Amino acid sequence: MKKNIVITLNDHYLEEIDNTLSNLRKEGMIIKNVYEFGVISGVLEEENFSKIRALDEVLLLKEDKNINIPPPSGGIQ
Amino acid sequence: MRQPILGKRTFLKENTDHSKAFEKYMNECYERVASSVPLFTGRHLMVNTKGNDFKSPQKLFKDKLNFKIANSRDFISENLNETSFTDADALIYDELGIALIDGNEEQIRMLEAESSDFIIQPERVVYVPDDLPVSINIPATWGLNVTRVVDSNFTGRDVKIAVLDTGFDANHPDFCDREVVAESFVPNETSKDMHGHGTHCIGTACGNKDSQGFRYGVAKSANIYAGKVLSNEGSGAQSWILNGITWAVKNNCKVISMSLGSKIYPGEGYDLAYEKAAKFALSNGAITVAAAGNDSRRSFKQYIPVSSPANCPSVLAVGALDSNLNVADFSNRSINPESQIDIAAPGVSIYSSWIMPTRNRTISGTSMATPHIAGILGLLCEKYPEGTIYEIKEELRNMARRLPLPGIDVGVGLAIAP
Repeated sequence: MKKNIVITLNDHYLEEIDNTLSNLRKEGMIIKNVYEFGVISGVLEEENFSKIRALDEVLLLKEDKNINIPPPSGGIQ
Repeated sequence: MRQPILGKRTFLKENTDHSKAFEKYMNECYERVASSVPLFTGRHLMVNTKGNDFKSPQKLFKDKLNFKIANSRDFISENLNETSFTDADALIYDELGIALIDGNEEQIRMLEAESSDFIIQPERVVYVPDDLPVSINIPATWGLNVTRVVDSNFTGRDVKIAVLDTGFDANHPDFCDREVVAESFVPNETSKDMHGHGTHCIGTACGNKDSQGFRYGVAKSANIYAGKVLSNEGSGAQSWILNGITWAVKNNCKVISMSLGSKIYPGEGYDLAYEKAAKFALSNGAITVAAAGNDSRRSFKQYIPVSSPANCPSVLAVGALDSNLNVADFSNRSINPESQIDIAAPGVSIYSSWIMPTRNRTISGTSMATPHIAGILGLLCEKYPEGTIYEIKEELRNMARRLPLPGIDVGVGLAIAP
């Protein structure tokens, strides 16, 4: 199943971002956003998570955590 | 008797108008202009140092000085009042052993020479103390009062404050004279707030007054940047929030307020992606502030750790207080290492703006405490335009009012406006 993911890069590889991106694409990741502080968001098949986690330049791969606030009627926001 | 010479102070425009009062104060401090406020009324008080008897000076008054004398005993049925003894040159307070004298310099000197048991001193003008808050007449929320925002001379002018939330109601009449830059990071939704949460948070951080003149906003002149990162249903993806942070930084916002979070369990670490984004903001001169979260139920002894992203070390985590300055029942706690509550602000029964047609609404939450901190940071940025972001954070901590509550609940305490 395709999942929205957020990848945090290892600081040592920030200079070689193009190389990193092509490595990620090779593993089937669809890149959505590249943040200059070393974070990449995108979409990836769940079965490929382990391959990307194995890359040297990837420090952390997490599913995009949804943030929720209560409905407008809620007294505590 | 002459009317006393009285100075002017307080409730005049020059004292109640912030800019004028500030200018006057700076003039007095730095321009070294002699104070125009008189110290003495031009009359004298004669005090008996050996008792209350005034027979001998009374004789002097009559025989040598030709004074008309009034006595406080004459005013048993009516209260003593300046206008009731305008004819008299001396008013003797028998019970006190004091006389109020209206004489010329020669007469006063003569009195001094002739009455050894008495001291004669000029009557002083009494003033309302200078340090009395000058804005006592402006009605405002309890949150603005307790953080002393109402007493502040700063309004966040020329400071850009970003609020990443459910967007903003651009047609809100309380903001008709304000410039708001709004941007949506939610796919297929405009920046218009259809929830209310975002408009409420922007109201607290950067709003001013409601239609009745009741003030609820902290940095009332700040430049507002409304980033929509939560959908109208009140949910958002992490990447939308990262987009919002990047946008705020690129627009040179000094403060990024995030009244949002996801629940964190004991033992969970902070999110590295958020931490990197917050560090990126810091390195570009922007402070990120986030809500500690509302998952605790202290009355049932349930304590939940600080939410994400507030739990990141580079994000200021804000806890909520009620109007008695107790920790709000729902406010989360520092439980996981490195995930601390940094500071606390009003977060129970907070009145602010809401989407039209409701216009204004009172709600509670650490979401309401967070924009108080964002606004106060805006005031600090105005006060110290050359200050680094670290100095401003430090000043926020230094100024905070320490509370008799655990640091794991309120951090350094209640934020106070500069």
